[in-house]
Amino acid sequence: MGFLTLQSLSKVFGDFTAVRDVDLSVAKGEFVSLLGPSGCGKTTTLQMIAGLVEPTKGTITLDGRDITREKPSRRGLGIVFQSYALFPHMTVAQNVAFGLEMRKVAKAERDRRVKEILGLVHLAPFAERYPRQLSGGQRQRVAIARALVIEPPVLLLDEPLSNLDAKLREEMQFELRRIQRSVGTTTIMVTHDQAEALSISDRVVVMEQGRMTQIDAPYRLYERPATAFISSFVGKMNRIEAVWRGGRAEAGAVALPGIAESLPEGAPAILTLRPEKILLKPAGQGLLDGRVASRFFLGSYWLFNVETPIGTILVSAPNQGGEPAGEGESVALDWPPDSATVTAPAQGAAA
Amino acid sequence: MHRNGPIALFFHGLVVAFVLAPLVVICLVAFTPENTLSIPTTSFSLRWFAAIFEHPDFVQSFYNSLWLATLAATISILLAIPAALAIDRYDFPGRDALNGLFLSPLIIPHLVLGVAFLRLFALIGATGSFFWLVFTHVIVVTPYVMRLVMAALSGMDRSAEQAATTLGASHWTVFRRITAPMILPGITGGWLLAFINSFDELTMSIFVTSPQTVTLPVRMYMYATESIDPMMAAVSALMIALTAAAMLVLDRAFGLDKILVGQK
Repeated sequence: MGFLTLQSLSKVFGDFTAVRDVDLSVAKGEFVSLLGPSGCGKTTTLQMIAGLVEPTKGTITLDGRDITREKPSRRGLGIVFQSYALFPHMTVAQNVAFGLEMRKVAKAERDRRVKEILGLVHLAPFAERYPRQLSGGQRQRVAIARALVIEPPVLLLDEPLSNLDAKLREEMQFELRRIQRSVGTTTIMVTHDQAEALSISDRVVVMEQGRMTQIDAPYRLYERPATAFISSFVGKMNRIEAVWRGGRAEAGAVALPGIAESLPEGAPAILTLRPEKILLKPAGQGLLDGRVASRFFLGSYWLFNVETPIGTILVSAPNQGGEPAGEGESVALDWPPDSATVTAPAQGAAA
Repeated sequence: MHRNGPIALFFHGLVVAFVLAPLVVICLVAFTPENTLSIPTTSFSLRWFAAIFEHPDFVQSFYNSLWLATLAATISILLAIPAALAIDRYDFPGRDALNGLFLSPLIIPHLVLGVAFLRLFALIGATGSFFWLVFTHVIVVTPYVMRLVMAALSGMDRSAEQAATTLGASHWTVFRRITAPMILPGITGGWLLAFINSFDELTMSIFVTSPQTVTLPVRMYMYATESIDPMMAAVSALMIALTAAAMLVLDRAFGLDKILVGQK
């Protein structure tokens, strides 16, 4: 039994099932992300935990206590909204103090805790400002401070970084993780950004059409995606149609190495391969020859679209300083056998 | 930025002149030293402003109107806030009907309302009561207040209320600490608009006032039907000044566009 558990939690709006039989157990102090495209039910799940949406079915327990029907004001959870939902007519300090005020914490104690938490999120000098006088990143940290100051058993984050620009978003990811580590609060974050989910979570829950389809540590999710949807949604993935024969995946005229789990001889299969697992070599020295169709420089790495007899394959290579193969050049693709996974198409097409 | 051509500018100027000219003339006439309605040519005089204060009935009517407008606007706000919250936040049977009912006084001519109330008050024996006069004004100004409060409510970020709830605030606390301050511009704007509308309402008031409760516009109308002298102009000038001052306050505090158009 986890610290926070969801048992066959469902939400039906009219004839639309937003969340379907969701089961999840979150350990104390864990950082769990709900990842999925918009409309997959991740936000509805979060709102049910917060008490803002009433579940149609199922139970939510917190530290052994059933809170399924408890009012949001009595759950005591900390929530950071996508819009931050700061109180525009209150200063930063007043915003943060609001929850403590509701808990009838004495003024002196309140001031001390507000000061402490604003220090934690590096906003101490901004205590007397109004939200409109702050930047996006600062507002976001006010929202986090306001949610954390009440020392909630669980912190819920609804797309906390989506309103920030790319650079700030990256900084705030690490900042968010730092803050969460230092207070040790069990955290559930909803996001549609796979990079965000992978970089800061202990575990990632992928949701598709109201269902949880995989719950795993970020690197396992990336390396062993359970469904075709996950493999394409989390990172980039090459998918090659093949036939499993003699311990290799035969695609057209070439036989490619890969790891397969109990595939019958001659069965149709899908070979999945991450672009960064592929090495570019001089033509003729790899598993597969091809020609660079296009090339993109992305700073820390290069991205190639390589045309091969079995289709276009995406390859990424770290930037080593020199200039790699250019457009139109012939290259060979090579990869260690254990970095390619071969699965039955039915399983691969489960989504 | 789209710019107006010379013809458009000319017509804009014409319209503005057309609207403002009578007000300017009235204000000028108010300062005449003559006994007739005339634009002062030789010198300015405050004698007609002084004359107002020699008519205690005018002063009394001014206070009547002031009290009436204050009470009507305040009561209207107190009714409109819960009504607007209910219509904005909840879906219930008769919701649209209720919304229509609150806005309907806007489309019924005040003349019709005046006659109807006159008849009603005669029936229930309430003729001439100040209380019932306030009642009629509340009905007439409520649509304005409703519109502004509803616009403020639909423009506010609901998640701030949810945030307050999850931080442990009760419904009432959320309203008092979060919702009310956030829709305050709508409330204040609604109150001022209601006040101004009530203060210069004439058509309906003619029917429902009694000698004890005569409002300033009605008093002016009665006076003007009997005699035309520059004192009317002086009273008008004072009312224009008062209205302009109120509008100025409104604009400075919240921006007129925001309040009247209901834009955030």
